[in-house]
Amino acid sequence: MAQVIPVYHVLVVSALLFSIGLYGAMSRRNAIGILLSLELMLNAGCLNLVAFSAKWGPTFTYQTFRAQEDVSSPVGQIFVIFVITIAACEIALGLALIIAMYRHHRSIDVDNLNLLKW
Amino acid sequence: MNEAAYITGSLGFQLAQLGMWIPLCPIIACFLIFFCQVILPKNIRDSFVYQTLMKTTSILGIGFSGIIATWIFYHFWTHQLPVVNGSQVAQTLLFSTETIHKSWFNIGAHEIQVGILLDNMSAAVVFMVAWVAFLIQIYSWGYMKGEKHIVRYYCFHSLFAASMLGMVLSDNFLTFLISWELMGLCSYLLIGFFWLKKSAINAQKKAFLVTRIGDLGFFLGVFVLMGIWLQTGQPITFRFDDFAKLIHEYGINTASFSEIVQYSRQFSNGIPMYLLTAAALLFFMGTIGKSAQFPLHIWLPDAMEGPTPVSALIHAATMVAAGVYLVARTYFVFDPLGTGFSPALLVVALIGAFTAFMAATIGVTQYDIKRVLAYSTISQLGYMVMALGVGAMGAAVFHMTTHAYFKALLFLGSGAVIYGCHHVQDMRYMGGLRKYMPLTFVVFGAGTLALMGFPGTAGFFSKDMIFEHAFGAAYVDHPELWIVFILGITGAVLTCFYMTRMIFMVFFGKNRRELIPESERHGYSIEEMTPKESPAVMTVPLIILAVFALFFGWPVKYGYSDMFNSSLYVEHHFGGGEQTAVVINESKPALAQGGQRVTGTTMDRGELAHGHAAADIHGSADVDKLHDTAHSGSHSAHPSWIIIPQLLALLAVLSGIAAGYWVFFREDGRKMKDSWKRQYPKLYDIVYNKYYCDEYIQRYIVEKLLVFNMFLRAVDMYVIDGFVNAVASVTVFFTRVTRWFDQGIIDGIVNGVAAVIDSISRGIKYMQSGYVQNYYLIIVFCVLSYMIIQGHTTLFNIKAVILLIKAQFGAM
Amino acid sequence: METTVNPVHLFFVNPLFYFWVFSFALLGAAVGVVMMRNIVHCTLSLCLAFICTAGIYVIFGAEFLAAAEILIYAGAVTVLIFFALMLSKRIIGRDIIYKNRQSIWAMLLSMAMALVLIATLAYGNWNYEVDPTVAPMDNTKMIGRSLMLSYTLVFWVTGFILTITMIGALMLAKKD
Repeated sequence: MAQVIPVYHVLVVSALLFSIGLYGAMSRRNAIGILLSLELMLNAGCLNLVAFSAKWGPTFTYQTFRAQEDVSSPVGQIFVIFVITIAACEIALGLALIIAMYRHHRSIDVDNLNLLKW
Repeated sequence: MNEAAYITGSLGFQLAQLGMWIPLCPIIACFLIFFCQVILPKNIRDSFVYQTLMKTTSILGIGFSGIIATWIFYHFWTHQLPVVNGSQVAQTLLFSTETIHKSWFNIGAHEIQVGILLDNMSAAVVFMVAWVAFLIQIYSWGYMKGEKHIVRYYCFHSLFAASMLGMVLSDNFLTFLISWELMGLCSYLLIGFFWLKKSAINAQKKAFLVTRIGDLGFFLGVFVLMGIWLQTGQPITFRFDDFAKLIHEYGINTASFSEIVQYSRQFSNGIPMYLLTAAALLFFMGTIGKSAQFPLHIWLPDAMEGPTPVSALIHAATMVAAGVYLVARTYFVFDPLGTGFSPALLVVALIGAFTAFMAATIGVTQYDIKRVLAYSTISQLGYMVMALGVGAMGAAVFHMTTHAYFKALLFLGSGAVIYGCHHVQDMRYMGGLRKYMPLTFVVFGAGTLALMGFPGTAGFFSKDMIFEHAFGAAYVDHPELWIVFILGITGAVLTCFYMTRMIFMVFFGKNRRELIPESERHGYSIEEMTPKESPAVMTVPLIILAVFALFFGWPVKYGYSDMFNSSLYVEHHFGGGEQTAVVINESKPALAQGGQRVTGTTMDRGELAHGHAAADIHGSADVDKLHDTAHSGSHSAHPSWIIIPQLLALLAVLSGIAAGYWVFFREDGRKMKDSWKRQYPKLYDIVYNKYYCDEYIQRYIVEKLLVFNMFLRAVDMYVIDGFVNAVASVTVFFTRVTRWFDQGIIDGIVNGVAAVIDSISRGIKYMQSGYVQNYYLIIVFCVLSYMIIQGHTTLFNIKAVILLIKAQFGAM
Repeated sequence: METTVNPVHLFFVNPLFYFWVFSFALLGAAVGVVMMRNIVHCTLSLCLAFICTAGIYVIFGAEFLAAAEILIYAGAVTVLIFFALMLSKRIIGRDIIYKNRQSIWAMLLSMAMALVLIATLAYGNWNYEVDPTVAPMDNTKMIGRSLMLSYTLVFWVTGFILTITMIGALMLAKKD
């Protein structure tokens, strides 16, 4: 039995996850629901990055201050860290917006926010 | 002009640089007053302090220029550089300290320069103008007291003096013309100063329009001269010395018009004489207008409507002197050969002599004290023009200067008389005033003696010089000038006669103020009309002017008699090089090769009779030697006949005074005069009505002009307006067509496009639903569409896709 | 040396098996997130999804990320969302209509997207495989070193972004 996980499996999972998140973002009325869907989509991306990192990492040549050494690369994982950070920011801002919106409209249905139209 | 041409004062700067401030001082004062008048509110403008301040500003301005003029005059006077080598022409330019010529503006590639020209003549004239104007302004302080618009008066006065000074110092035709026209404007403004008087309004218009006729001639003359200049192909210039040099260098072609046309159209054989004559006569038109010569003299008596100091200014210092000065300044055009005789000068002499005589006869009959003086001015101007015509430019300018002193004196004196008589001007209501105003009588008498040319006064020397030249010109060369001399002498007799009459009517006999009709008393009773002496502010200028009028002749006669010769002219015709202009007669080829040189035949007469044997000393640079030579020659060079005109002039003065005394002071003479009046009523009437000049001009020129104007008006109304209206109609028609096209087709297209876009927009605007998820859906749809379109070849290959997926999973 | 291994045992030590276990759980939780009516349930489902993702991260040898995921997402973010829910909904009840009008189109588009992605990725040459056994075990150390050496600037910028976001969120949510 193979002791490995082919990358394509991960890609398929993340594609499905992304699509599910996409559906949620497009169809939920609740603004918080949309935020949740966005988190799903971000996670799909992160999953890919982690998988690629696990594949490529060990062969990466790393330049330190003193010498050049072969180390496993954490680049993909660092990407994920940044994505998580930005996602956290996004969540915070989004929730703040939702609270402000609720304060004005007494509702968090994005369908109610349709003033800016023809 | 060589290096030595720059006369530097003892302060070390160029005199001309200083001379620039002569016109600038009064003009700065004028602008200062003008801006104060414009800016300040009415209550300040009416205040006494403000008015005093403004008057002081004006007087200070002209006073400064007087001081500078004196400095320059003194300099020219004491150095006495001989005119013959031309080193007296000091020229530098306005707004410049270092360079010779300062550019004023450019016309294309032509640089127009501006500058000032100082020579003997301009130095002498600015001295006269500045001080006379200064004294008149002082005098006005008293005379115009209580006048509401006194500040305006002083503003115009300053501008008037400034423009005259600027004109005298101009070194080119352009600034000369500008100042000349400014003077016309100022005379217009000042003659009509009492603008509520209908007669003053008419007089100002008359003065302006009549002088404008002459100005037109002056303009055309400048054009002719410019035309000549352009034939040389040199860059455009307006400077007098350039023109003088041109005439000197190119020589004169004396062939007649037809001959020149027949043989040559070029200037290679000299400038055609007829062109210069035409230019000279056109210039002389300007003189006729400004200096009130015969056909256009009619404006000057009417100009008496202005305030009396203004009359003094116009008659003495500024306006009328300009015409004489114009001829003197452009003498190189009038007398291009340097012989003191030319066709143009003959016309000048004849018109001058006739004017001198005619105005003197009119002066005999007038009753208005200012009108008598006005006609005497015309007469004296006639003498000046006559002197110019007989080739005595120095004598003319000398007479202009002395005349300025005594005529300013007489006018201001008459102003004092009018002031004393409570603004009565008619001499029939005066009489016996010597008891009431003795000081005025004394100074007025001094002015009268000077005007008569009584021996010893300034007028005697200047008039005597004119008669000597006229006699000399007639006796030696040109017999046709006898008429000029005779008219002049007769005019001198008449001058003495009417001045005696005036003195008698004003100052002698019994006072006749009770005859003044009620309408002319200005609300005073007869007792209140008692004549009174003027205040000191008016009499002091009179005394100063009297001193000049009496004694100004002596230093000139026995000091520096060439002070009044334009060295610009003399330089180019008698100085420097070989000889005067070269005369080539194109129609005689044999002579043309050798070139007939005209030597200075007038050297032993004319103004040079008094001056120097110029031909002997040319080319020398030793100024002192020249000086000595000139003055040692000045007494020995008198020809023997010189005593005849002197005696005749003396005789004329004495006979005129004697006749006047007999006719007006003696009972039998008065009776005889009255019987003559009854005997020849027609003659008296004609002279009294000034030969009906005004009426003739009114009937034969003005009315004809008006008829012509009616015709022009008809042409204007029916032809021009008709044409314009027709053009307008056609335009309207085409405009209608264009409007139809514009509204129907162009607008239709535009509106159609707009309507189509509008309907489309109405349809698709619902895409803008306002639902954010809707937009998101569309974005995803587009992205997906893009992905599918890009990858359709592989994506729709379902079999391959399934196989590949299987393979990918198969790696498990 | 030949040792017989129980195939069932082998199956249970195969990381692919665990991967798929977690993946199915993840996908199920995700479906729950987008499909459930009650937003509180959705949030809890999202929490489950995050935990499953963390499991997958562990399989790929990214323990630090797994920990971070659980701490940040499953912990902080979920709590934050609950706070927001409690602040914004007077009744944390179910929405009568939780889907909007275009949900059918959204479903179609999402499925199309999934199919296109899978089909497109199938063309890729993924001839390498994840081998969890060779994954570096000093993963956390590596990340720390990289962050402090190579990605210092990005790290700083991220810090600034966080700060700014915090201020912005405060400004927005502040009752004024």
